[in-house]
Amino acid sequence: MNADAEMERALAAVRKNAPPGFTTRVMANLPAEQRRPAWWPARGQWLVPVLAGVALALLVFGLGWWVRPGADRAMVVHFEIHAPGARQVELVGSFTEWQTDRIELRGPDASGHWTAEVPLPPGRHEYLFLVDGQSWVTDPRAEVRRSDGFGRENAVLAL
Amino acid sequence: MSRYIMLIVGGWLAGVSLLPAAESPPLAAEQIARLEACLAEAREQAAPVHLLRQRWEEGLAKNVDPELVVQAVQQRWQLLQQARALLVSGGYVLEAPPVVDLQATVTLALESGLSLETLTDLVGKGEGRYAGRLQGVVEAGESMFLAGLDESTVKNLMSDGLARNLRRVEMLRVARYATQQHRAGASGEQIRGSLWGDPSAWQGGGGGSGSGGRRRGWGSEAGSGVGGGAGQGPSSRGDGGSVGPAGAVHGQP
Repeated sequence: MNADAEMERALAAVRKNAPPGFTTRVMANLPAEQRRPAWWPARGQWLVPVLAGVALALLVFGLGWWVRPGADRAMVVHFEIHAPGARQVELVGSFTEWQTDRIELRGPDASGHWTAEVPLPPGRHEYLFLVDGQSWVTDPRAEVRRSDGFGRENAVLAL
Repeated sequence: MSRYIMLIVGGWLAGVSLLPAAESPPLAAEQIARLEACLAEAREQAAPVHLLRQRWEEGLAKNVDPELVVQAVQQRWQLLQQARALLVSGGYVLEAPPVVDLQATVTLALESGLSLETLTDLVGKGEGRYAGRLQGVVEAGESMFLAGLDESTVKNLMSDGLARNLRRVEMLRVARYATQQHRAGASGEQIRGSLWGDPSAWQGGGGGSGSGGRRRGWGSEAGSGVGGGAGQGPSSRGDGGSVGPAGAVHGQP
């Protein structure tokens, strides 16, 4: 308290009064105060909010795209056949345009099974297994089969 | 001299054994012309040509006699024309994108043995609208028919699905459920009853009585009372790909 009082007396000795109108002129030349909401970024501080907005938009859009119903999202289908004596097993069907040498199953495993995981678009598909490039085999696990009109049965898969 | 002949013959046999499986017998020029005529006609009418080309490719891949391939493609073209006429009579515009796919679905259903009468009746109910929904219904109907359900039941289930405005995914679940119930011995009326919540038609297992007027989903306890073993065939992951019924049917007539 005493130190404050002494400082005040010392300053009073050297303090000069401002000329008339000085304060008014100074205030008039100051830039107008920009009213902005508290949450509004200050000048030069836009980068982070913009990046955050873009990231949020991408996240929402991406999630919406991911969970969209049906559409043309591919589904991974597991195919399997027991063919212990086979050297090669292929999957041939409408999704390979009935071309061979497109999808080969892996195997055989210890139990003689051949398998493949194939992404397929939603829709109706017909297929057969081609064993050793010669034997056409209908999927024994297929729920739905259809005569191909050529003496065999295609498995029918609806996704 | 004989040694050289034996070497040549042996070499030829060895080479033949290394060849891939016998390629499909070549089509005669006349047969190719007939096939191309089919495709050209389909193309002119803006029909789904890929449906005919698939038949051609399938026949070639399976080393089928060329004449049978030609006949199969021509037969499918005839069925496609029937499907198109059927849809036009039902008020559908063939050029509309959803109807292009619908043509293929109806053609395949006819090829699988569903009668023209059944499909005509169903298409008429569509009133020229909701081609996408109708496609799902027809596809499910073909699946149920191929699985062995009688055509009368299939027709009723397709009509039920259309009346309830079921989406394709939902109709496929109906088809899988109906197929499972059929294989478990349920009748057509029992299947419909368990699907659409008519307790008086369901004679199956637990949960089938005392429900009064409460509407039950077809994935509920009533459905689990008969057989209901897990479906076989390829398993899939993804929306609509699960085997077996799931969730309740929704949609209003």
